[in-house]
Amino acid sequence: MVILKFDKVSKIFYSKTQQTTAIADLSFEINEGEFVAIIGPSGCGKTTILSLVCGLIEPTSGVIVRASDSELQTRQNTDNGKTGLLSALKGKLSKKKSVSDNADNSAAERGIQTDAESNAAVLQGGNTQTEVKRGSAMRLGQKRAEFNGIGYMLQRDQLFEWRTIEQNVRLGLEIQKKVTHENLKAANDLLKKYGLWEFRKHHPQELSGGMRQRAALIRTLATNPDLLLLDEPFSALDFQTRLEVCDDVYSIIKREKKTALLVTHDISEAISLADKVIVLTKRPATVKAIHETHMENIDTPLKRRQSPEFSAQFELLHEYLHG
Amino acid sequence: MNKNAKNFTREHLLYLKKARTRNILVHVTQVGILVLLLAIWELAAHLGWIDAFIMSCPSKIWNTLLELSAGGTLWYHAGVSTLETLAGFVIGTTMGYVAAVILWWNNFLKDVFEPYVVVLNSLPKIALGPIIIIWVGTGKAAIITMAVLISVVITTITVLNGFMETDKDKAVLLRSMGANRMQIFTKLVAPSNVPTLMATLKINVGMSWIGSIMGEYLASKEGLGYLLVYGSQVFRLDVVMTCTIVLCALAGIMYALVTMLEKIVARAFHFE
Ligand SMILES: Nc1ncnc2c1ncn2[C@@H]1O[C@H](COP(=O)(O)OP(=O)(O)O)[C@@H](O)[C@H]1O
Ligand SMILES: [Mg+2]
Repeated sequence: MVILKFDKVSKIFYSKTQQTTAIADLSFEINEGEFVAIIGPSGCGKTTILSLVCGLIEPTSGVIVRASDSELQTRQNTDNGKTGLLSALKGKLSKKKSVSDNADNSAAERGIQTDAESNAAVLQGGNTQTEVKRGSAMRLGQKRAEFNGIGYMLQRDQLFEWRTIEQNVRLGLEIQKKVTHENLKAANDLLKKYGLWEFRKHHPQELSGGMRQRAALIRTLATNPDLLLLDEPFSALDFQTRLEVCDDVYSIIKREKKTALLVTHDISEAISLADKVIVLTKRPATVKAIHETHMENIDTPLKRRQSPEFSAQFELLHEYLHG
Repeated sequence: MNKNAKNFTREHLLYLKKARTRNILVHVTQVGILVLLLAIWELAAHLGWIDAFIMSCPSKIWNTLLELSAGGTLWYHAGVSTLETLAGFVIGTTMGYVAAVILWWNNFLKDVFEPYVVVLNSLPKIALGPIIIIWVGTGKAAIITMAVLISVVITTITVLNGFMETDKDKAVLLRSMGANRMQIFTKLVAPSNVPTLMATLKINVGMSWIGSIMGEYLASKEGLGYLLVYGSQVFRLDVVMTCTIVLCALAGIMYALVTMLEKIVARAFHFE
């Protein structure tokens, strides 16, 4: 099942002195359960892609479909044949929709509804899609980016130093007003399962780089997102720690059965972690090649690095990236 | 002492001992300089090197201090000034902080008000004295207004600067979780700017004392500022000196209290 789809997405940044086309005509798909890596040179637009996926910025043109969007879209047009994507329904969004159908709808829910309508329009609009999307972006310029089942892990761990590890892990639940008994228990279970339980009362600055990264991942998982976004999560670590944390993060994501999208400029990181590697061109980023690693049978990134296929794949991707 | 002290090596303990000795030496020297200066001053006045009538001298100041405090006059005036200063400090800091929050919240307002804030900041507030007197009278209100005016603008500027420099990536993280502006403020901007607020409090101790004493110079029948002006008009230099010293002591105590608060808060928020 497709959980995320980019269809001819472009993003142009405007400033007083220039305009920067960060990505151009970018199309790709991510299926549920997949681990996808996007590689491209520094500054080619990788972080921009993740911001687009999160809905933090709007595309200049093109369409981004998330499983939850299509769910909303299908609810509005129950018989338009797109029910294939419906199974992604988690209930939370449909609940919101029904609330907004009632008379008393808050600003946030109005935001969601408008978004859903605009997306529906986008999907059906054919050639006018760009216009509609741009219009909605303007109208909703400062709208609250509604949680859309996506967990974003940024370049650095971004743990809040005035919060304990436990409080850091709860951050997403607090923001989404989901501090329930079950959710707290689930967060605590994650802390226990991944060796941070004894450190729950510690502050981030008392932990090693690897442990901080693990805490950041658990914070991302605590809201139970469908899709994890990882922006060069190991780039701030030294080489030895990086290999360990890489194994750590991989095994946690696999154990929690999450779909993940990793962006990096490191070819070996991409091959050792991902099922599918999307190679981008220099800025403006567009897809240059899509490569399947076929190493599902090897269970850790470190072992993958040591496998015979690894260097051949490395050569190939290096060729794509720099050739 | 540190609870790990028993695990320290001999060299480490030696290092700590050296640091402690140095610290004591600094304090002893500080006090020594003060004592030396007072001694020279006293001596110079007694030997007629300086005119004790114009320059006063430590013994005369000490006697004046005893005399003024015996009648309660000094403490009455000091109390008045302290209360005015505290009021100006609290009101100025609060108003400045609230203004900073509003300007942070709305980028449009920030851009609109930026030049006004800059002009207000560079304006010597004493120039507003006559206007304040006409508008709010010559009582305590005028003095507190002056203290507020002096601390409010600098508070807004310092706090807003801190707000604007809040880690952008952390804000992106919160927005990716679906946070609204209010949540970004309460979960990130406010807590990460607690050190900024503490720094502002320290600045405002000085600012509000300047404000209240200046206000008392302009229009008042009580307070240390009034006593200072009175002392100089009747050529009682010992009164002027005594007031100045009491003023130093009060401002110093207030600063020390804020520093203590800063330490407590830093520990609570785990800012190193
Ligand atoms: N908000 C923005 N405004 C203007 N230009 C931007 C903005 N964000 C990114 N860019 C530009 O877009 C390009 C891609 O940036 P980014 O996505 O951060 O690259 P990467 O993550 O691959 O290093 C860069 O040239 C950058 O300067
Ligand atoms: Mg980047």
